[in-house]
Amino acid sequence: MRPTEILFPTDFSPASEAAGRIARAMALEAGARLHVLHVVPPVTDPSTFSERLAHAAQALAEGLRVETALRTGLAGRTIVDYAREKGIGLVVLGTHGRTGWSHAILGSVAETVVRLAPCPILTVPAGSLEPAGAATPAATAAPTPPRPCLVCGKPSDELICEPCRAHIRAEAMDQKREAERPGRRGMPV
Amino acid sequence: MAAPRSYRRIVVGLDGSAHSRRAAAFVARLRPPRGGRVTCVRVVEPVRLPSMPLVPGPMRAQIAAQAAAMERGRRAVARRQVDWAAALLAKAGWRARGVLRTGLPLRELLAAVRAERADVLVVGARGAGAVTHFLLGSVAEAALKRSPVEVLVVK
Repeated sequence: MRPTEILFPTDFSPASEAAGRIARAMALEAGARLHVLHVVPPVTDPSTFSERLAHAAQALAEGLRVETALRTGLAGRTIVDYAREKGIGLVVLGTHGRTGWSHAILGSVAETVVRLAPCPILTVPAGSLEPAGAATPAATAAPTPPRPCLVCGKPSDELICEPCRAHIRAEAMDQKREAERPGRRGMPV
Repeated sequence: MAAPRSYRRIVVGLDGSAHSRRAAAFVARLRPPRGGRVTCVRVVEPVRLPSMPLVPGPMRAQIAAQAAAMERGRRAVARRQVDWAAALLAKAGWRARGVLRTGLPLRELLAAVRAERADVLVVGARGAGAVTHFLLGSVAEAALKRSPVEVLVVK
C-alpha cells in the first residue's frame, strides 16, 4: 500500500506552507504525484486565486509530478470529495491549532477531513519544522497583493481584515450569549 | 514508500483496537531511515475504586485485591499488544520497543511524544473507548488539536 497520489490542500497560510514542505518530501520519497488543491468559498470568484495556486504549486514542483485543482465549495467536504474522486492515498494537511472559542466559531477543516477522508491523513501543526533531508529550494510565499477586505473594502493582507474579523467574532458571541440566556426568552417584558 | 528522512523517531499509540493495529502496520510498511526508531505506546487506565468509608475492612481488602488483579490482567494484555507491534516493526527493520504507561490516554501519549522527542505521532482513527465515537476516536481527535508534532491518522 504505497500512496501514488498525495493530496496537499492549501489555504495559502503559513500553517499550510509547513504542510506543503512535508507533502513534497513524502511525494519525493514515494515517487507519488502531488495534488495541490485550493478550495474557494461558495460566493467568491475562483479566478482570483488561480495565480496564487499556480505559484504555490510551482514552489513545490521541482522533480515532482504536480497537479493543481481549484474547486468551489465548503473546504472540508470538497477536499474529501476530491480525495475520493482521485483515489488519493495520503492527505497532508496543515492545522491552525485553534481550540476553544475560535475553534467553535471558525470550525476546523482538518477535523472534517480527518473524519471523512477515505485514506490516512498526516496533519502538520503550524510552526512545524521542515524536514532536513528534502527541503524545498525556495518555498517563499506567493506575493500577496493587498486585496480589498470582503467586509469593509479597505486593502488587507487577508480575506477579511483584522478589525472586521474582531467585529464579526464579537457579534457572533453576543448572539450566542443571547441565545443561551436562561429564563423567559421571547416573552414580552 | 520510504519514510521521509526526517521521521527518525516515531511514536505509535496503541489501544488494542483494529485501527491502532493498522496504524502499527502502516508504519511497518514504511522503509525505515537509518537510525529509525519506533516506540509503541500503550496507555493503561488505572482501575479506580469508589471511596468505601462504610465497607468493613476485610471486604475492602478483598475489593482492592480484585482491582489489583484486574489491573494486572489489563497490563498483561497491553504488554502482549505492544510486544506484538514492536515485533512487527522490528521485522520491518525499525528499532522498535514497546512501552506501557499508566494514566489518562491522551496525556500519557503526548507525554511519550515529548519524552521520545518524536517527529511524528501515529494513531488509529478509532479507538477502543467505551463510547463508540462516530468515525473518529476522542483520543485521535484531541491529539490532532494538542499534539506539538505531526499526527498521522490511519484508517
